[in-house]
Amino acid sequence: MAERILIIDDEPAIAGTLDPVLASQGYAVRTAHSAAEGLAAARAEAFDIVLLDLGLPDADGKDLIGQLRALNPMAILVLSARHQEAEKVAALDEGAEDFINKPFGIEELLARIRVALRRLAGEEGRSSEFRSHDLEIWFDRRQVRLMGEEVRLSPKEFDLLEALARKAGQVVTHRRLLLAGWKDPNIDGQYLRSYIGLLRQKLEEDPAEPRLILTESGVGYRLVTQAPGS
Amino acid sequence: MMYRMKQMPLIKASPNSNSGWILRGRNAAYGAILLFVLSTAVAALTEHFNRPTSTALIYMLGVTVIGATSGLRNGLIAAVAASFIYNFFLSEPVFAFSAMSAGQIARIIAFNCCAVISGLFAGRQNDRARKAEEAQARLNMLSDRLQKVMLLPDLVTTMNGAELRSWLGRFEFLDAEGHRVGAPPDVAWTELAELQFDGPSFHSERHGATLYRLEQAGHDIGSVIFGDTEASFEGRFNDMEAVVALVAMTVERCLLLQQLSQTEAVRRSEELKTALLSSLSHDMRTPLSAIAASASSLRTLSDDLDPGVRLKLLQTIQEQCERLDRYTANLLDLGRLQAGIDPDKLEDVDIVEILGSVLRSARAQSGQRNIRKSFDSPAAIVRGNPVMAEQIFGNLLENAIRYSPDDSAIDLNLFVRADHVHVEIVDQGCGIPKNELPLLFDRFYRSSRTKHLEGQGLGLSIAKGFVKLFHGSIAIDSPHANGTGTQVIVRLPLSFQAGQTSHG
Repeated sequence: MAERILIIDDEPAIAGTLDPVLASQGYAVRTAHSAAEGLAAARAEAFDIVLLDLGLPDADGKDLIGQLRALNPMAILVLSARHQEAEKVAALDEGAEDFINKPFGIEELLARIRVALRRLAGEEGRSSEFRSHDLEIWFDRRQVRLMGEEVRLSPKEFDLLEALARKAGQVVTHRRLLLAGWKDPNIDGQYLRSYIGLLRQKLEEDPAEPRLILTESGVGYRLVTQAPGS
Repeated sequence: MMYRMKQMPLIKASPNSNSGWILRGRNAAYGAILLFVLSTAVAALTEHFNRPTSTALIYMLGVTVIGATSGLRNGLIAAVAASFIYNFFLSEPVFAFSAMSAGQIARIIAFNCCAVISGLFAGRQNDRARKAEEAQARLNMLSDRLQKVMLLPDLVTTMNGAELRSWLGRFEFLDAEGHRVGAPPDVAWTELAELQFDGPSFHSERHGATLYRLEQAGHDIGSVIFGDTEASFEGRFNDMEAVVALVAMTVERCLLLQQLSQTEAVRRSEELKTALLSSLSHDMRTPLSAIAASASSLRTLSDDLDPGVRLKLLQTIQEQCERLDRYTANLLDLGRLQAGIDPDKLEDVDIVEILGSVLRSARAQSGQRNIRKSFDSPAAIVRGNPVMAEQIFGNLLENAIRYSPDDSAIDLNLFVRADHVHVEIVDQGCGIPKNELPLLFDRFYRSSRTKHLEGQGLGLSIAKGFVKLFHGSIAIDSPHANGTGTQVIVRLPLSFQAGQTSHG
């Protein structure tokens, strides 16, 4: 059965482009041009993915996130031209799965949709291990291997890596990472930066140009599941 | 001379300038009579006990008290009265105005002299106190008036108000650079202002005026000139220091407020820049997103896409490029508006022709909206610039389309009246709240009802700027009918030569 995607965006050029392109990839697509229309569509049928624009004519898209999530288990990807970090963090805090900055290439959007769908499917059986190209993680044993070689991590480093790997491919906010590592979201972000630095020292080929743990400025970090370009 | 706010004594207005214990007018007369009756009684009593020397002293006390309480004039009257009473009641022979011996005459003369002198001193003391009190009241009045002054021109107006002017004379203020503020130029005083002098003030007989330098914390904050006045000449120099201090405080306050409002203006313009950048980033990124998504789909997914979808994506790219071009044009127009336009470059423009071309492109964007046109003239020639004219009506029609629902009607009416052409654009959109109407033409202003919609808030401000360049006017009425819709009316003066060409 095809996964169902709802696009909520008042901009006809964007909805009009995404609709046929996503359909060509085998998804069942519906479009809505306002918050009210989107909510009505989500009530009428269950969607797996909602692509949500934050600047809607009748409401702020952020306020819609909670209402949508209350309906069904679904992954909400925020599409927004708003480049304010605070907006993204707020949307993620409201329960959005991930965000994509406009303008974006279709490959990036399709990759994010696949990640979100995998996660949605994975939620039933919480996996005990993570595998992505050179990196292997066993959560129960708290063991990490890079290119088959054992990597020794401190408990905090492992907690942070686990938090990133459990949402691999998606952004994890500073707040979530601070909670994972320190159980306190009000810790100085400087600690988080230095621990991410330590993780990169141990996992990245070139820590100055990370390809595995990416920085989402002002928002958080993202563990990539595929090496870029592959 | 330094005037610091902190050093200024607080001048409080007393509720009644007559202090209670000072007797005035009729009360003073009653008081005097009572005092004399008492004094005479006491004197008669002491006389009875054979102590005549103290009598004169008792009267002297009475005269001094009256002088002190009710002024110089009453003091003198009391002194004379006392000497008569003394003669009549107490000096031998009693109950007659006569002197018996040389010793008694000398005593009466000495008494009279003492009574007059003590009455004189006491009275003058009292007059001084009253004058000080009046001066205080005037300063209170001045302080009250100056409290309300927030701008330097207001200071000049206030100081030249009838009441203050009759007290202090004609007033002028010169700022630290010597520029006169608020008052019409006065040749004689300009000369005075340019005089070099030492010290805080300079009085010029020739100009009949005094110039005072104002300083605040060691800084020159300007100077003031007071014209001489008859009425206040005598007392003014005692008060002047306080008056100048009050004025200096007011000038300082005005200067501080001026600085604050300049800071506020800079802050606001920074805010506008930020608003422009964030709105630009939104408005540019939306078409860019559509272009990026379409182009990347065509490149990577081409094999999966139907020919129809491929064509649609290509169309999207083209449309969105045109949209970006319009934004860019708007920004360029804004720059052009700021630079102004050379009046020689204005040419005859036919508004009917312009509207025709605007309509062509508007219909392409209008979707299901029905644009109805009604022109009552085949031509309407105005002095202007064709590109700018197209921009005016293009922006207005774009607004009407953007802010009105699909399937609604938009009316475009043109009629020629006497020497003007009117163009009305009426939509059936959401309208504009009345309180926002005055703000609409502000650059970057966007109505609260449309904030979520795309747009930089530049369209109307550009349209208005161009209309003004063409010596026309623009007005907005909203809600236009039934509580919805907006009517925009542009009025442009017809070109003089055009009258002949359009009918010829």
